[in-house]
Amino acid sequence: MPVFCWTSLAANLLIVAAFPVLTATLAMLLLDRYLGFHFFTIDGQGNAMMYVNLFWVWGHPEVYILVLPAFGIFSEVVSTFSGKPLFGYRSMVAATMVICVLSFVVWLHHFFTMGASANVNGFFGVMTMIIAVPTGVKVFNWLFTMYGGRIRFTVPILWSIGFMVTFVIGGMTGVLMAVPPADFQLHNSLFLIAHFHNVIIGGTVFGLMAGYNYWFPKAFGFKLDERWGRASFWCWLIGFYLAFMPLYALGLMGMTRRMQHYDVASWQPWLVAAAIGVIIILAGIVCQVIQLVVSIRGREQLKVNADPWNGRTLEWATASPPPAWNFAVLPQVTDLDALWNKKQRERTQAQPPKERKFEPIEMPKNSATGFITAFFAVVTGFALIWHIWWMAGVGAIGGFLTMLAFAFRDEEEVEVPAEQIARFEQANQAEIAV
Amino acid sequence: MTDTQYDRAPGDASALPDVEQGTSSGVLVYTIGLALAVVLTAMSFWAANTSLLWAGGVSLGLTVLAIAQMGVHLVFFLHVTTGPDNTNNVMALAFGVLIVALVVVGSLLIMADLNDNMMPAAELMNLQMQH
Amino acid sequence: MNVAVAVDDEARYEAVPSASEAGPAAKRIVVGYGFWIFLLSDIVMFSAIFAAYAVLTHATAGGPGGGQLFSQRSVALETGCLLASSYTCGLMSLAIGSRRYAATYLMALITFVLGAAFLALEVREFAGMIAIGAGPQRSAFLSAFFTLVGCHGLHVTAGLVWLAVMMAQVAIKGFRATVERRLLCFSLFWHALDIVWVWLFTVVYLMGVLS
Repeated sequence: MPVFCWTSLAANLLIVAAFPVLTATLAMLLLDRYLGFHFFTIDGQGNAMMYVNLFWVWGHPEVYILVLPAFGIFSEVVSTFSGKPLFGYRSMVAATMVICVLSFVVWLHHFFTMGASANVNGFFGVMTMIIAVPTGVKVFNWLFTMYGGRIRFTVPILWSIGFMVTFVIGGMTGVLMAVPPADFQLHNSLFLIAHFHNVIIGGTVFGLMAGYNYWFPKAFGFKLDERWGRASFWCWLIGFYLAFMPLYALGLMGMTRRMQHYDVASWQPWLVAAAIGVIIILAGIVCQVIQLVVSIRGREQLKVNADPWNGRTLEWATASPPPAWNFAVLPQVTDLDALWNKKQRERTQAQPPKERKFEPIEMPKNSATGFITAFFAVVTGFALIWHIWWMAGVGAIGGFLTMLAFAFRDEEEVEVPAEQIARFEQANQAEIAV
Repeated sequence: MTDTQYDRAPGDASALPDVEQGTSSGVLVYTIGLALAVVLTAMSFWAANTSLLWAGGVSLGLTVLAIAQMGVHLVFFLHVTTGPDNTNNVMALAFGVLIVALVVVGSLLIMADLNDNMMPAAELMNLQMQH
Repeated sequence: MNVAVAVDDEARYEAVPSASEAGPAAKRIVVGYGFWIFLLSDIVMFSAIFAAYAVLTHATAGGPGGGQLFSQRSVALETGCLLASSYTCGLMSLAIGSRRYAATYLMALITFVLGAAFLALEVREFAGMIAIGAGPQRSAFLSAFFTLVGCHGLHVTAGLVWLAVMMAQVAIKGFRATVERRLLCFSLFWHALDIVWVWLFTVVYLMGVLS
């Protein structure tokens, strides 16, 4: 599988394994608040520390859920725009699955200061350092992928290079705080704030921007404007460093988070610098909005065929945008970079185009159930917040009945006839690479 | 589309090997499972109430019996076996068991440790898990 | 690098096409496996509540503990009901596989009755505890007990509703593929609930009365 599929798999495994813990924890909190239970209250001999413990059992896998898909996006983008296969595929996959498992044995580093003994703090500190290793392996693999390649400096690769520098800095400060005595000084200071924004923005946000620019043409059939894309990247990058690097200094100077106001004079210059950084990030966001508007207005000039980036993976073998059924004939995959290898083979061995036989394809039938059930869920949630019990009941029953109606429908699938597929393929002949 | 021979869904009675539907061998599998489960359950109740066993070992014994009962359910009711067509099911189960173990054992160790270090000296109640 | 898609056990299945040529797995297998993963996630949720219970076992705030409150006779009856219902659910699966309508309805009915009996006993137990002032608001231990056992009971209730809906579907739609797949998921769910109950009665009730 392409590495993006592997990281999506790992992220979804983490979601399936970690979110139930959050569900249970929030349910216990809800029972405490609404029905007077004593899970986390001192009254009744509850234990508030247990909330913190259970919350972070979820909380740490959550940050890997955030970052793993971004790692996958970078793997795709870096190999495509370096014109080289991804370096170290096996170690990439292994590192991803190792992160998946290890992310469940580090959660106590979120509460080193809550008072566990040295042995316990030490164990989790060591495990936190160990989990940095597979991520390091991935960074080296991306660097070695770029080394010796002919890099095309498109917007997605700019975001990827920005990620590599920014995420590594953020990761290093994380390893610094993995040392419990250091964390005793830095916990809940601005140093911590700087660290997690560093990794989440540098990792997840930059990854989303790279993916957005990379896959937009596939989804909508036209590219995003390159100039405004570059402008947004540089604003984001410069703005991010200006906004968050001062926070590291502030943390080391003793500034704590979550205060009602701050009146230490020596902190002010740093905070002003950070504020300017925020404004530059805002400029970056404005550039992205402008980029979208300009691209939509100029979509005729920016139109693309199936493969605007000379891609390596199979999504670039479908039309842009793809039909509902994606592939008219299921591709036979025998190696990585399946599309790239196919293109190489077609260049070297000029073969007459194969006569393809199309078969009808079964597609799921559309339904409004999800939307309607979500509406009832909103009603229920709103009612619970404001203690409107009758409305909560209406919402719950409404959602259930909607699901019931969906369960009794007669047709679950729609068959796309072979003729429709053949017509689409003919109309888009010039665009499809496969 | 016919079932491939590479994977079996967990709990799939219709995929029991060499079993014709509705014949006695299908019922036999469930009946054996029921009998074993009843015996193990009875043993658990006996172990919790008897004075013949050393008290310190009863908790461990109950845990072992619970694991055995879970095994009986998995094999006889859920048809999760170690055959090659069940590999995915066993892998998923192993991952689930790992997470459960980490959450339960990890939480217990951490909470016991925290309570030890954070309990005010005047507090007489013992919040540790050990009896 | 050539990474071919591997077959599980090539020596045994020589004569059949490779997994790649055979195409995607049948819907029954995919649906069953997907539901199995959901069930495992549900069990992770139970384990979090379980961990909370284990931590709070002795947090009785001067109130009654498990030893004073639990009735082993009631628990034994509940266990018997649930175990028997798992058995009858298995028989129902066999009946579905061989398309026997009468046997399916009969086994479903018995499963339902046994499940309902389990719930009735549990509700009675809860009501009794609340009546003597040992409700969930009394102490952290009792909060955890009611939540853990109650969560299992809610799952059993949801299962009974599901079973009733499924019998309606069998009556209206017959044993078509979608209905069979849903019944497979139901039986997975029902057996998994019995597994959770095994841990519940062992750790909460039996270990709870150990002196």
